[in-house]
Amino acid sequence: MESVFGLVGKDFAIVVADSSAVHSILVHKTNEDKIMLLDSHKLMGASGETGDRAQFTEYIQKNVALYQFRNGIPLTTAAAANFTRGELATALRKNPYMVNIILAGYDKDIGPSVYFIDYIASLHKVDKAAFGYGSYFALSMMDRHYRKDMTVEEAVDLVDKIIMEIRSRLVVAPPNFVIKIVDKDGAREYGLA
Amino acid sequence: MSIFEYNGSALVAMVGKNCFAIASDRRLGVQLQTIATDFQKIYKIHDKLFIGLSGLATDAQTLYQRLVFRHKLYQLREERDMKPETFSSLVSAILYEKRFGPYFCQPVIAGLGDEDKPFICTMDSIGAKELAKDFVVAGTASESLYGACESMFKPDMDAEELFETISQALLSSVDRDCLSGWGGHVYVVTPTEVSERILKEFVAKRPESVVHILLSPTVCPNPPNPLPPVRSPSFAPPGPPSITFPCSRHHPLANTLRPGVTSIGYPLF
Repeated sequence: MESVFGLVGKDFAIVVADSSAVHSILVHKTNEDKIMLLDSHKLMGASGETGDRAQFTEYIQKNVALYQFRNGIPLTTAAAANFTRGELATALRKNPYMVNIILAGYDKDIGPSVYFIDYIASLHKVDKAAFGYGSYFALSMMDRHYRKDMTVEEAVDLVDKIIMEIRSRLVVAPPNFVIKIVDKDGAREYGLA
Repeated sequence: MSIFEYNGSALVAMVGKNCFAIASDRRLGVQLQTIATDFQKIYKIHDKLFIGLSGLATDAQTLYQRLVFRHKLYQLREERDMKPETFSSLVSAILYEKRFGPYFCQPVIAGLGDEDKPFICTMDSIGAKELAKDFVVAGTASESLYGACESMFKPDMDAEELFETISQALLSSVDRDCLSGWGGHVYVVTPTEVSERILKEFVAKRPESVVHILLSPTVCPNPPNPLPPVRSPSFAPPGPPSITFPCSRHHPLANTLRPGVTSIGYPLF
């Protein structure tokens, strides 16, 4: 089961996802990227049904881009989150997407924000969120160690602790994780220049 | 687990003298896991009309968006706010539209109608209205809430007393329900003002009067001689000094709420 988690720091937000693509007992891939860049300052980490995940996140990404083309300004994180929730809610009673989403973004006047969006389209703005079996460990570790206004170093340290916990305590623990960060300079993979 | 119990919620509304109060818990959960402790379940439609939506959070959010849309249209056409009675008929109609694929929500509607007469009602997920003169409840803790409200309610309470009563009823009920709780959100509305208060567990609104009443493990029929000091719960905030008594029966404030009732682990207002 896929683990995704995210948290808000002082002026950045971090989203972490595991990178294994699994079907039943078979591991197809260990370098799958489950955190999509919606635009320059938004990240969408998704977990759930593989096809739905890839298709739905791409759909949201293209619609976010379309808004910017049509209107000349980018969507705010809250607007993107509500749009995503709307799409999930509309599809819910027809052809539901089995995708859980953690949407992180940075807005110039608002700062960083993280949104929790369930597969049944429950939306909530949070400081920390997690999905999957890894959430049992991630949420507990974050409850214990998370503080408001953490620096990047402290947050990555916490992320490392969480990943160690998932690796050591989850029987089907994923071997690799991808960490992406979004701040005033944009959304990018952590560790890359 | 039923779909109505997926997220967990507790809602209550009470009528007072020319005022009403509506209160909810603050938990957002996904079955056994708590996601957030600051989730809003009561929404303002206009200054004198509030709706609380219990049940499935996604349907509560969808339904709220639809209702705000309909109310804004009404305001544009009629150039006035909707009366609570009218609004509750609107909610009932919208819910019944989805009779064979319903929204999994139970709304609690509270407002001040003509001449600021308080109005409360609730309905089930397909729009069967239940008007009440005293209080209405909804959510996973509804059975506890019925009991608590029935015993604590008095007619014609003023705003302050109404706030105390509804808070006590809410907190004592959600304490017996694992799917709701993590504090409370209380709105008390009079013709002249709306007050919004957040109830945190273990913190009184008057710091000097924080009292942790701990039930002793065995019944204590006699006033205690020096017993070993009882530690207050480790998760209680360290702040204001707390007075602990070894047995709740002998606390001076016991039995003042009503005979036989002593509160457990949170402040007596």
